[in-house]
Amino acid sequence: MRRRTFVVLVICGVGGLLLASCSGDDDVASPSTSIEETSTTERATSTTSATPTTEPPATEASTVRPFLESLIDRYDVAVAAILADPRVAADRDHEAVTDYLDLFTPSSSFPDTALQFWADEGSQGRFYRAGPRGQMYESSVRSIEVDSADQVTFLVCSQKSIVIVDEDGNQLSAEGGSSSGSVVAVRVDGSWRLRDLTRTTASDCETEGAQP
Amino acid sequence: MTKLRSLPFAAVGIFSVLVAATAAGAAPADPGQCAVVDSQGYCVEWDVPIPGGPRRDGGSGSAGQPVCYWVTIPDDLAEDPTIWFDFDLAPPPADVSVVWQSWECTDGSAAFDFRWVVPATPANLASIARGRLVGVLPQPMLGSSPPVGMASIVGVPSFVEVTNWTGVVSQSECAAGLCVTVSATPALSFLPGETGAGLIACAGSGSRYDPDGASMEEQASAPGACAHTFRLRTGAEGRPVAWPGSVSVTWTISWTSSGGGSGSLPSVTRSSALPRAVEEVQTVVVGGRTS
Repeated sequence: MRRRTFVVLVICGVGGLLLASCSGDDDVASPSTSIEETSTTERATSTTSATPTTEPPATEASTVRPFLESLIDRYDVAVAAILADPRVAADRDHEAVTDYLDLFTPSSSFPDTALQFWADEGSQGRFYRAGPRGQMYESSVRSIEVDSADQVTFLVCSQKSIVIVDEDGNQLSAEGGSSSGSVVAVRVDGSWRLRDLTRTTASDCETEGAQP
Repeated sequence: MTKLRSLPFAAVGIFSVLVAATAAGAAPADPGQCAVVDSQGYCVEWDVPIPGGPRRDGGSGSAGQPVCYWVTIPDDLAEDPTIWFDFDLAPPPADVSVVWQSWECTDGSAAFDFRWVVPATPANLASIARGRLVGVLPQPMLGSSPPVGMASIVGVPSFVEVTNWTGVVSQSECAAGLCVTVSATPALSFLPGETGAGLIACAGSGSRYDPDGASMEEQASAPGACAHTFRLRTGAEGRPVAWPGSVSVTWTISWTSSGGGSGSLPSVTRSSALPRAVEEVQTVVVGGRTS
């Protein structure tokens, strides 16, 4: 949660107008005349309804870290939503799928393979549930390598706790432990999106994985 | 946890490999196409268009890179009461026999990733056999006329074939009296890369030009021929120095169970680049005859 709070703080720090919307204080801009009141209301309305659309370029790793952490958090949530019933992966209009696809660059074909895999899992009657950890995957960003102002490659460590069941709820398999991945993110239209994710063999995450 | 920490290293090369999912990286500039993902949606096997092309550090599956597997381990990890807490694992049902596996890589790196599986289900057996089969599907090696690297001539057909064509490849996996056979059936396609040229579905392993056969044009126009006649020379009018052609083998994968079930599994595509420069030969007509 501390990470998410930091993300919110950063987002709220972008621009004076956004400060007004983030404060949640309706009286932040007290109008002195009716004309100003109208103007202020319009401003407040626009900033309240609009999501900040500009995320910073990767001038250095620390600049983009909160956005990458947010991105990978949302990725884990989106994947868990699909895995709960992988059959939805065959429907690109399903909310769980659109949430997942929204995390990638618009032109990326990378999600196709994952969606096909999940759809096949669903068609074979394999459904995923969270294991004892209570969350299927919980990932964190480790090192970040800046490839360019608009592209970064970063190491992700994931804690896994899943149970695979059939349609009747019978347990077929369970997996747990830690794994690492290399993720490439690209900044498109001022927003950091995923380009691809690759499982790595590095043992960078082992210190988190097997602690008693 | 000393015993558990040592397991990954001891397992590599000793125990039977059940799932051969090769983990591969990709170059940041050209990720290629992911062929296989794991349940978290991370790519564990990349299909790279150019064999031996650049790969991202940390991945595996290409030359010189480690390969990772789910390896069956002989220990019954359930005997260690800390296993469930240490690895956030759910225990198997009390009355079910399971197989324990560890995710291992040939470079000896340990991922501390464990699982148990109920072996005797068609889906699990198919997954195991598929993982092994995908690891042996070859990158297409190309033969062509004119030879690879030589320019084609405008108006003269070019032929392409795969020289390491294997036909259907199968793997089987059995447990508790149940056997599942997974088969991969290849289909060849050729994308010349020339502006306006579409994908050509080729029959079998492709086409080799037979100088003793029918005319070149007849061979190129035969049904299923893996051939293309370039119309546009390269390197002129803003065109590239070579048309970025490619040849792909798409493996359709299916499984059948001795118990009567059957189904399909994610297909795999292996591609090789076939860039082709195209030149134009000027002819001079003299007295109604070409010279």
